[in-house]
Amino acid sequence: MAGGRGQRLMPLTKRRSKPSIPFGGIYLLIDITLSNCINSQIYKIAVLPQYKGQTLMEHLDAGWNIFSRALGHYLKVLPPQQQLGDMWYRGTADSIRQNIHILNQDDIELVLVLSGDHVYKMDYRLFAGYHREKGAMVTVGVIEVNKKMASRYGIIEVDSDFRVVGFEEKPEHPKTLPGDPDKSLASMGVYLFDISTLKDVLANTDGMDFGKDILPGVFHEVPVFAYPYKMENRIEEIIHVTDEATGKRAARLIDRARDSAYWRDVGDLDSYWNANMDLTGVDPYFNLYGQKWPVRTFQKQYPPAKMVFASEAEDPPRAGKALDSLVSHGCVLSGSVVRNSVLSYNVVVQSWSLVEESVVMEDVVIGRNCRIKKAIIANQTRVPANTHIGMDLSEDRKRFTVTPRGIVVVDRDDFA
Amino acid sequence: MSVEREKMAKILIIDDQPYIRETVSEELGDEGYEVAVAADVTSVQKDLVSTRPDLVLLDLYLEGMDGFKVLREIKVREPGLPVIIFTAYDSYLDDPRLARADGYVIKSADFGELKRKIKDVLRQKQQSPPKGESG
Repeated sequence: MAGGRGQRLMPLTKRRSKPSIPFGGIYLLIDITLSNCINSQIYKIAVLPQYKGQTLMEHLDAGWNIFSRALGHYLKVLPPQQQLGDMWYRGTADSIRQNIHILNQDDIELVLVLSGDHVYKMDYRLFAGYHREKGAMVTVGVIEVNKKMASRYGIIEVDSDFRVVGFEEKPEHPKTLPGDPDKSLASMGVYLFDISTLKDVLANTDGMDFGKDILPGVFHEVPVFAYPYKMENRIEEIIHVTDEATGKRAARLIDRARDSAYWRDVGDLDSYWNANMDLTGVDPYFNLYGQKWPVRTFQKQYPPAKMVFASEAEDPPRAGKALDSLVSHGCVLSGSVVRNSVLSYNVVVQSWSLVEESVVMEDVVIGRNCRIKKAIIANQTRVPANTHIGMDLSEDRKRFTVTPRGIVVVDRDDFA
Repeated sequence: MSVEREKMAKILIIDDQPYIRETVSEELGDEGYEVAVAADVTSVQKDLVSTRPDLVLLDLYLEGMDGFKVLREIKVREPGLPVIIFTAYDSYLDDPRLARADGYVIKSADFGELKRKIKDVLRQKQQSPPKGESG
């Protein structure tokens, strides 16, 4: 897994790489993929960080130092060593090429190449089963995407057996599925290689990136198959159902949780915001509350979230509450209302403020009488009293980053 | 409903963000549409009666009521009235609760797609009898 520069996530990537951007209040993006690995019983992991790797390294050291070398398990962090020249990693393929020696150390048959900035729950065991069943040398995870979104991805063409027969990187006019002119098959950037093929490809080509340079050539040479993730992926889960008549809550095992089909590449600010919003609500698109597919992280020590002032009758009301939201440890909602939002650790929202549809990162203080809507507030930002964000985008554009969908991104430097 | 020329169609924008109401009104006004706005969803029923729109642009996240419910209510009251979902979220593109909507446009600084979709939906409406078609 390499960590890209993340230009499209600026200013969030000012001080950290994409995989170490906070997500869902208490996680970093990379936790999602690493959790998928251990939930799929994959215990040999190499992380190939790229730019600004400090936050990532510290997090992995604090939270993911859980592998037993004695049992042959490891999580190795391999920043660019410049062993093969003076270059940084120049792409996903290049990062592995520069570290090819680690693949010779164990008795490895299959290599899974993942990205540290995707949000999904994928059972890689099913992926490997499919790869073997098809007799594939390379298998690419694919997802049906709405044609509207397709030009952002590598688009894959398959035959009726799902063998890859065409590949276009970010096409302007994407090929659609036979029988469904609104959908295209996009590469998820999740690859499984037979180790011999991977070594051959890396030795015989000088492509830097699997998606851009290598896949478009390799499917002519060896059998490459597409793995229809939405159809094949299956995460079982325990859900709780309350009987309306008796009020009794009972656990029920379902063989395929709804988020088995969820996948999102958090490549730009709009999709980052949207992925966080997908966590909120009664029956969220991506559920962090399951038991069968836990997402782990390094949990910081903070006191429980606190909501204070209960003066609903005052005019204006001074009541601290959070609705349809995730609120992390250390947060204090002091006479303020938070709705449809994700609050990371240690966020203070002061009286008479309203925060809606927003992502608020660690150590943020939002002063009194603020009105914040559809915003991403980066860590350690101090929002002064009476600030309005997301209410008038033409004003916001003068001071902050505003995304194409109208999400306002605020960084600590904006109020310095 | 009387058949009006496409350019003269009246569009009701339901969105709780004043900025969106203003900018979208301006953009659509420049295209020759007549525009009405509503922020408060409790008044949708009233607004439908008083403005008699030819098309509704509906945001999904609205204070006090969700857009899904508003869509359902509109389609019960006025099955032939086209509704285009206009939202910052892409999560609901394939949501079955929106199957009866006539279009889904993700908010963007560029209004081209919205304008094209409105045109398409109004054209379809003129060509087909008033029935809850999906697009």
